[in-house]
Amino acid sequence: MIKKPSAHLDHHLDSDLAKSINGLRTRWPDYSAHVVLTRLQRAALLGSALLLVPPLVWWTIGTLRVLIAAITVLYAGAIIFRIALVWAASRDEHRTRVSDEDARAVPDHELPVYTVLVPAYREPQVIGPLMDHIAALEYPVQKLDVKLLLEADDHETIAAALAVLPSPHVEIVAVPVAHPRTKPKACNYGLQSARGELVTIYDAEDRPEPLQLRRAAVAFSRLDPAYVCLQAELGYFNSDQNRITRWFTLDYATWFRSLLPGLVALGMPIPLGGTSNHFRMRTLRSLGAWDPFNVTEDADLGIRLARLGGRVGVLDSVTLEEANSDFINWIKQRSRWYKGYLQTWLVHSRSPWATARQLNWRGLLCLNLFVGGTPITALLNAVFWAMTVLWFLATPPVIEALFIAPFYYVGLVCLVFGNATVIYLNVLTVRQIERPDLLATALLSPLYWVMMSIAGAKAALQLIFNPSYWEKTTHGLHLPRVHNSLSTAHVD
Amino acid sequence: MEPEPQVCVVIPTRNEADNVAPMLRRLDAALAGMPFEVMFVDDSDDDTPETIRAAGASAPDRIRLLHRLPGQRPGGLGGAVVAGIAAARTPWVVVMDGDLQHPPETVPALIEAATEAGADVVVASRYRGPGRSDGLGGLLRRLVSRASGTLARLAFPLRLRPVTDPMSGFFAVRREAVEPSDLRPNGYKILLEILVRGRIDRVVEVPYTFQARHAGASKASLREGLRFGYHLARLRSQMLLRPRLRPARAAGSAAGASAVRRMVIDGRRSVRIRFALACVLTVAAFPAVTPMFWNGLWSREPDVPLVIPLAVAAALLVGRLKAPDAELDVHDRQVDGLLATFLLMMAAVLTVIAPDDASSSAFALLATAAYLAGATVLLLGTRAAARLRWALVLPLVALDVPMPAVQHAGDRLIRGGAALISAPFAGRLDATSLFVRHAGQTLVLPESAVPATALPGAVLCLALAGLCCFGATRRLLARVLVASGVVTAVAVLGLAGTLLAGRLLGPGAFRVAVVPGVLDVVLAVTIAIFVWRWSRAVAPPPPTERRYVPRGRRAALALVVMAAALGGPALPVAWSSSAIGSFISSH
Repeated sequence: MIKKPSAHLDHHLDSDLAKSINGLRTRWPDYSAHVVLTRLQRAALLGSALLLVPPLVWWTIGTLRVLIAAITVLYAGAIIFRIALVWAASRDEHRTRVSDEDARAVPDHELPVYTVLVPAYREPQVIGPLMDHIAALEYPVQKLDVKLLLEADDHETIAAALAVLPSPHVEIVAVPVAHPRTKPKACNYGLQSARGELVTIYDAEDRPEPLQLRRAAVAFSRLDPAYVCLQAELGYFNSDQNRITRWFTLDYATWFRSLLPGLVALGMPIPLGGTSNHFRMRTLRSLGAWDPFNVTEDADLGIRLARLGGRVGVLDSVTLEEANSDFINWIKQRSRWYKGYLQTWLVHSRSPWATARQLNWRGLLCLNLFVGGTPITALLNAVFWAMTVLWFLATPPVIEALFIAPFYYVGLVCLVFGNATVIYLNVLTVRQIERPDLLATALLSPLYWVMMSIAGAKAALQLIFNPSYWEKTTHGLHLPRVHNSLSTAHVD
Repeated sequence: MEPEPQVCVVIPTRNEADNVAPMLRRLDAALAGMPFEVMFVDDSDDDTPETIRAAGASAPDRIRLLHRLPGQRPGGLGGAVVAGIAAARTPWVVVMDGDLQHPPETVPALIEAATEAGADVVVASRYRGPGRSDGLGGLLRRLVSRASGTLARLAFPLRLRPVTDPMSGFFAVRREAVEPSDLRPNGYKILLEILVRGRIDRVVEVPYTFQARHAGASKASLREGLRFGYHLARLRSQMLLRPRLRPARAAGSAAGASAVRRMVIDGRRSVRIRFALACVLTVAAFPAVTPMFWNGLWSREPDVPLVIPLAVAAALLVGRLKAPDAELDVHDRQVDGLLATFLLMMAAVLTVIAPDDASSSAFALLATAAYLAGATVLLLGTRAAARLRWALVLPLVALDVPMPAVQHAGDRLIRGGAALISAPFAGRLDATSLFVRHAGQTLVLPESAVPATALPGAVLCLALAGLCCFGATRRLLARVLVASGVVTAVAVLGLAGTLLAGRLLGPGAFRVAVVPGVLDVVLAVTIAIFVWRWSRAVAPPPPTERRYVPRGRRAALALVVMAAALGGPALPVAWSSSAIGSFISSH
């Protein structure tokens, strides 16, 4: 059942491919990250930079003071926003819950056809486990439409998949070789031939909870049609591998247990996570699906969805992923996320008035403080920590001169209270997920912030010099290592 | 049937239609009886190609045309010659200009000299013997021409020794001595490149007289001369790294050129050389730290004699410089760059803000460590720096950490142990001082001979090195305990040995044995052996597989610049008033 580009299908495939690459870009050029900065944005940036030059030259300290004051306020805003999210999430249950009984109660023939997109690249060794995880899904086989999206030149993985192909409900789709070679392009391509009413994405090494599809189907039938997407929670199966995976586990738990439900509670748009997001097929298609030029197509889709009037819920069901266990690998992955967030932020700031009208003030707050703010605060953290350390080491008068008294106190509160609060929130998460063994990890999280800062700096550099480069993340590091690690590498 | 032509005359032409017919006529006359072919490599935009085709219509096999279209003329004049040589099918190729300034009548002399002398290249020289450069109108042009030749000979004194006119556009070359794809023509005369890059063993010259231009406009200019300067410099620097002549190659490697090349140019980049470079640069950047280390090596003034942590660091490096097989082969140059920027900035900031008092040495040491770490990250990559982190940090153990209690414990332990062992032959002066008698003399063990601070420092170093090799495991505890026991025993036995030497051999031997530092070195060697074995046992270097080493060209440059900026101003001060000076004068 392999669908390969063949002669008589050529023009049809070409149009599919063109649609998956250029669909969004031709329909709404303003929603695509194909161009990082529009001409107007470029002019605005250049203009503000030029405006800053004369005061920086003739009034250096004063300008820096104003800049630092503004940054301090934004910083405080980001911290308060975070606290507000956690507070909002804790007041009530904002995740969509479907009990096991309810999920199983729906008779098979009433369930909608479910498309599962599984993009994979150069990972023949995960195909076997993947088939097991798909087989474990409690969903009637005749209603499943699994599309294994493999790159046409990735013969190894295609061979591995052909070898274990179990049943007709799993289809291998060979994605023609074309740039950009990204996951969203593969997903868009798979979407063209999908026949489900609902659709979701899993990575090849994901282990979704078996009832997840049924829960999502029931939740969609219950929810208002405005809910076009449900984001399932992501967790890690190798969280105890080393300190980095523990930090990562905590990070994700905070993200999916506190921050995303908080965004739902406050009626704000949600930057989706990379996998296990479930959509209503028709709406997804009408939204233009994923942007193949954005390196975090999922976060971008979340914002675009909100701008076009859709809502997103958080589904109480966990998909287990592989946490990145290696420092450099982690930095690469995180920098891609940050770069994608910055890209998304820039894309949706192109026409500020339209965005403001579509998102209202709540959405705007989320876009600026959450999507734009996360990478920028990660980056600024390093600067402010460096200044603090420098001040303690040498007390240079320059640093004192940089702060205006009231803002100095705001900064001080951010430094002492803000950091303490964020650590405290991590400790709260430890309690919430009932993993007391992660307490030390939570207390050590400032070291994790250092890693975040490096990733933030890398993301900023790349956004300038190499905006659509997709940082590869090596997977399979939890497996016993074979001799050549590169054979286990793939792009996620 | 006509015999195979032995010579191909390659003539680059550009808008020289008027010269084609006379050229062919004179060549035919000069080379009568010798089979040859003519290859015009034409870069013209006028009707020159048509003229050539018309002239060659009578003998299409003998007169060939290679017309290069606009936009497809790489290398200009030199490129045209290279294209002609590449297309030539004869054993010998003669290159001459198409403007008749090179008399075709000299061609037979070139061929004759080539076959007679067994040369690879025959140069027609304007400057040798009766040859004259009459046609080279204008004093300036003559000067430029002569100067460029002299420059080239200065740049390649060995290769160009037999050549008086390396700028000549008129020469014969054995076809197989030239690999056209090796040449990088840059518009200028190609002979120089052929002489420098070709497989040339023997060059001879033939004199000729440069003639007035027959027709057409000259293409030489001052701009060409400037371009030549650049070309020459590039050629020289490239050949420096890939010397062709055997003596030059020997000299080059002796001068360390091969080491530099090994490190920065191609794939054979050695980890050890890079780490050594990082250390050298660090020393250059912080000249004031060197005397500090030198003094600390022997004196116990701060705390731990530096010789111990340095020995441990060296032993650790031996086993851990190469990546173990289990290490993940994922690298990122941007992360390297960011981390190194941070570390180097830290080094600079620490240097700048260091206060002018006693605690400045701590700042300097920290800055040194930061610089060394940054250099390691840049030259070896983040992963390697992480692997070596303890080795980089170990010398800081010697930082002024006041440990009176620990010191006291170490002191009591060693002295007590030594007293116990040497009880039969040594006595106690009071609670602490030990002495022996030799031939009526009383030899008292001086305070400085007891490695009281060395022992705790040694144990600390062992623990750190063990942590580096085994991680926080039970194995670590066992090994560190055993090693600490052995090191303590060595210290006690050493002290007892000192006493015994005094008892048996007399005051002379005793005085040698109590020189401060002797026991420290013994301890350092003992620990180093332990750490070396640990580090080798845990991380056996992979036998064949080549592991990742980053490209270091720009990194090395940045580090050198930074070292110069940091160390340059401090250098004279550090060495004139340095402790090294006082150290040397005091001994």
